[in-house]
Amino acid sequence: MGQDTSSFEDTESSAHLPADLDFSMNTQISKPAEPLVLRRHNKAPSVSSCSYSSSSSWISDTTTLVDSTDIMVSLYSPIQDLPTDLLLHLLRYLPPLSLHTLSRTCKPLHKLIAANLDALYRYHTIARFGLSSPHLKHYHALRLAHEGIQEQTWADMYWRLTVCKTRWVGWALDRATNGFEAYPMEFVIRDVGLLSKRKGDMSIDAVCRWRSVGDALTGVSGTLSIPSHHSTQPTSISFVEHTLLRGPNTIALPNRYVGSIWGSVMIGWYDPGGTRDMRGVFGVVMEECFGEDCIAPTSNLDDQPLFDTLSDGRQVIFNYSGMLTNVVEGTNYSVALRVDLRSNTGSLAIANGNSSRPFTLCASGRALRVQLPSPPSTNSEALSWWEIPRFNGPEGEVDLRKVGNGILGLFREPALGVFYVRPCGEDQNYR
Amino acid sequence: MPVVLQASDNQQFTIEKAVAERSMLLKNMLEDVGEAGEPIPLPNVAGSILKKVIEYCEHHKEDPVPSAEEDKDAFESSRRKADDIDEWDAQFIKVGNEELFEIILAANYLDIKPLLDLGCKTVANMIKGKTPEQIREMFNIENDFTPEEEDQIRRENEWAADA
Repeated sequence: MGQDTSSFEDTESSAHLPADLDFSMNTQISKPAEPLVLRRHNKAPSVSSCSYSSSSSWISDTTTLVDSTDIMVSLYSPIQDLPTDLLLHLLRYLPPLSLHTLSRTCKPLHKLIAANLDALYRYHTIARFGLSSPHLKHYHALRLAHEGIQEQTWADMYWRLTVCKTRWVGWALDRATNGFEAYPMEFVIRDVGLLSKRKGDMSIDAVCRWRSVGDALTGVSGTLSIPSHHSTQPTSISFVEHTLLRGPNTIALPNRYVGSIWGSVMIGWYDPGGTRDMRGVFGVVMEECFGEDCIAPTSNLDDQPLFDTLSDGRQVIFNYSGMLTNVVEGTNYSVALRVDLRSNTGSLAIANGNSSRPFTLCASGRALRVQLPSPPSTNSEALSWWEIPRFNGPEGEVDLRKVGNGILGLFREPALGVFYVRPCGEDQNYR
Repeated sequence: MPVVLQASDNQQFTIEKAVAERSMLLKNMLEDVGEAGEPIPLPNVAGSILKKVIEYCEHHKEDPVPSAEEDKDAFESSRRKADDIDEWDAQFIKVGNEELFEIILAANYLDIKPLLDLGCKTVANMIKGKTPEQIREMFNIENDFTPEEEDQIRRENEWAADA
């Protein structure tokens, strides 16, 4: 879908974003730089820019004379008068659709944006989808590796991921009546089509793979929903498993799923209309978030999507940050989960709760478990949702499973939390 | 110990050190030269804008200072959505275009990252959802494309509009 917009031959604009833009979000620009030299609407200072609507009557010069008094008036076009490095910083706040619109306003902005388009897309791709890798070359490999397709630009990758066309890997946590059993789940969106140009919803054609259920494959169709006209980002998904393509016929079909999309993570539940005991949850992560990240996989990704965090030699402090959705309550919370793998301790902090809980980590098979102390026995109604023992097992155990750059927390409500992984400490050197 | 700032138009402002230290430029300056008590000249900032910047710093003086590591973190940045603006900040930044960009320049010069972010988010929000014509009008940009070029670039971007 990506297009090269740098069609104008005159590419004199030499301002470029730094190559490491994505990891230097805080571009410190302390020295004034030269503004982009541009022509602009010239207008008398008394004319409000809000009321101005015609360009034909203004002189195309950087200064003009007012009346006959020979007073030189500086003309002001605020965005064009920004130093170029500051303007580039500002452009990072614009989603790609707005970037393209802005590039259509005048030649200098077109040139500047075209010259930096791939870097801007690279920034948006890495930031939005939470890609975190200590090896920058990994991103290049990702961009070239999708199903053998040579994606030439970051724009290609950005738009493909925007419509979720990739392989998603994670877990489904079964309903209470099935003992909250966890199944590895893979979900591949093979094709995406526009359902309604006005609303922007998209149809999807996909398959689910259930490796622990006879390696079954099920055919899936559904809808990606875009919340507003000016957005290109689907934020929710619904789909139905309707056909058994391969595997045991014990799989009951159809199954309905609904979920939310958070960058590289899709989280939701199945049989959403069912009773509490009949609801299950799922959480999957884009395969682009797998790779040479801070926690090395201990098995072949194709065989086993679960990573072992403890047997790796590079045990350092990791921060896990992200969204935790209590699926039952339908409420989102921001959390920060801090883990010190050297001491197997950490804390779970609620960003808007001004509180934290200590916990201990223990390895259990290939999974990493968090053990929370029992909550206070009094005033139980005041406890936050993350007081796990309130609705979880007596030991307050939560399975944490590493999937790509995400940590899936399998709460037995069933609810499922997703945390992003970002390294800190000595592993930050790569930035 | 209060700090005295002197704007480009020689207006002077006496503020608490904690307020001044929201600016990394002033913080580093105060660490380097100590608290001499002399006015600190800020030749790139007009008095009216400096007053506004001080108002922002006063309000946010208790906020934790983001560490360099946090700033560089891709995940934090990915959460830095343009529509994620605090209510007080949203009221504070309701200013005219000219003043808004002066604030951005001042925040950049004084190295006040949260204020720079606020200004950039606000401009981004102004641009989002607008047509090229509306953006030109809003920011006083001259359309210097020939009709042929404009048509060509419109066609180049058609795919994005449909995405």
